[in-house]
Amino acid sequence: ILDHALTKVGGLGWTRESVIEAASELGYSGMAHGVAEGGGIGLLSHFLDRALDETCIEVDDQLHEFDSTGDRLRFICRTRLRQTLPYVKRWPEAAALLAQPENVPLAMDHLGRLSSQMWYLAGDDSARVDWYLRRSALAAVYLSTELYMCEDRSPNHEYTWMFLKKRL
Amino acid sequence: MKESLVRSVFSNVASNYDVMNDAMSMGIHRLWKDHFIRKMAPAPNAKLLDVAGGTGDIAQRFLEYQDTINSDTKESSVHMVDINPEMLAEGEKRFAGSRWTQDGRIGFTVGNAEKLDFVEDESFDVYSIAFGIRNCTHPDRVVKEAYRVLKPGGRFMCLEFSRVENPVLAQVYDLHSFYVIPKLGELIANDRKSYEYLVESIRKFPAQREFAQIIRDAGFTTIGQGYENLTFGTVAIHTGYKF
Repeated sequence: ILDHALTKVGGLGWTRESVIEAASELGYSGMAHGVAEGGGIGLLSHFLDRALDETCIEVDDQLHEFDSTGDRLRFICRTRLRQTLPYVKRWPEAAALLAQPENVPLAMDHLGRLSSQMWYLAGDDSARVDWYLRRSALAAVYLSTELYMCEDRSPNHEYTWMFLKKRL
Repeated sequence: MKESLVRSVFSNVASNYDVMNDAMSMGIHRLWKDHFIRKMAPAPNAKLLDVAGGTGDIAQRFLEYQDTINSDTKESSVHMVDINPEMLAEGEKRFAGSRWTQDGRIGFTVGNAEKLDFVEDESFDVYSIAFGIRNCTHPDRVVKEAYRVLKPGGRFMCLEFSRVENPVLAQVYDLHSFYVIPKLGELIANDRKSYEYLVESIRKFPAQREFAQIIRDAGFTTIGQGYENLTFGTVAIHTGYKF
C-alpha cells in the first residue's frame, strides 16, 4: 500500500489522501491509511527508508571503481539524491513536513542513519574523535544539496553535481 | 451470568454514566476519546461500527470529524451496538434532534459484541470499542467478530483501561481505584457496588501485550507493539488491520 501510495505523491502530495487513494485502488478500505502512521509523515518515512535501502543496493558493486573516500562519498551522495529526483516537485513539501517540531525526532533519526550509512559505505570505519563532526558535516552538505536540487533546472542536474562537488 | 450482571450494572449507571466518567477520570476521558478519533483519522465515506457505544461519545466525535475535517456530510455513517437497552436509549436520546439522525447517518441496535448476527461479513471500514471490551466475557470472541465484519484493509480500534507499568504510579492508581472511585459512586450515583464492579473489571482485563496477541490471534495485523499507552498506561489504544 505504501509503495503504491508513493506513486500518488505527484498528484496528491505527501498526505493521508495519497495513502487512502492507494489503498482503495488496491482493493482495500480507505481506513488502511493507518499503516502510514501520522498520515503524510508516515508515507515520507517509508520513502526515506526505501531510498536508503535502494541506495545501498545500487552502490554495492560499483564502489571498488573509486580510489578515494571522497570520490566514493560523492558517488554515494549522488546515488541517494537520484532517489529523490522523481519526487523533486513535491520535495519542498516533504522538507517542510520534516521541519515541523513534532516530526523533528523522526527527521533526525533518518538523517543520522543516512549520514552514518553513507560514511560507512565510503569506507570509513574508524572511531576517531571527529566522527560526530564528519557525520553532521555530511548531513548538512546532503541536505543543502537536496534543497538546491529542488530548484535546479540545468540539463541532467549538472549544477547540482557541481554544487555537491564544491562542498564535498 | 456475567452478561446479566453487566446489564444490570449498566442499567444502574446509564443515566449518570457521563457524570461518573468525568468524576472518575477527572474529565480526562474526553481527552482520551479526542485522541482516539484523531488517531483513527476517519477516511471520507467510512462506515463505523461502534460497539458497546453506550452514550455515543465516539460516534459523535466520528461524525463531527467527517463533517468538519473531511467535509463528508453524506456517505459516512455510524452504527451503534450495545448489549444494554438503557445505555443505547441514552445514546438515541442524545442524537434524537440531530441532522445525523435526520440524514440517516446513525443507527442503533441492541446486540452482543460476541455475536453480531445482524451484521454482514465485511461490511464496515472501521470498528471501535471504547471502554466496553473489559465487560465482555470472551474478549477473544469479540475480536474475532470484529474481524469478520470488517472489510479488507479495515481497522479495529479498542480504547480500554490497562496496566500502569511504573510501580510508583501504580500505587497511586490503586488508591484511586479502590478508595476514591467507589466513594464517588456512592456520593454521585448512590451506587457503590456498581463502581466496585467497574474497578474489578479493569483489574481482570489482560495487560497490553497479552491483548495485542489476542488481536493477532484473531487474524489482525498489528504494527509495532500494536498498542499505544495513554496517561502512563491507565488507558491503552489497541489497533489491528485486516490484511
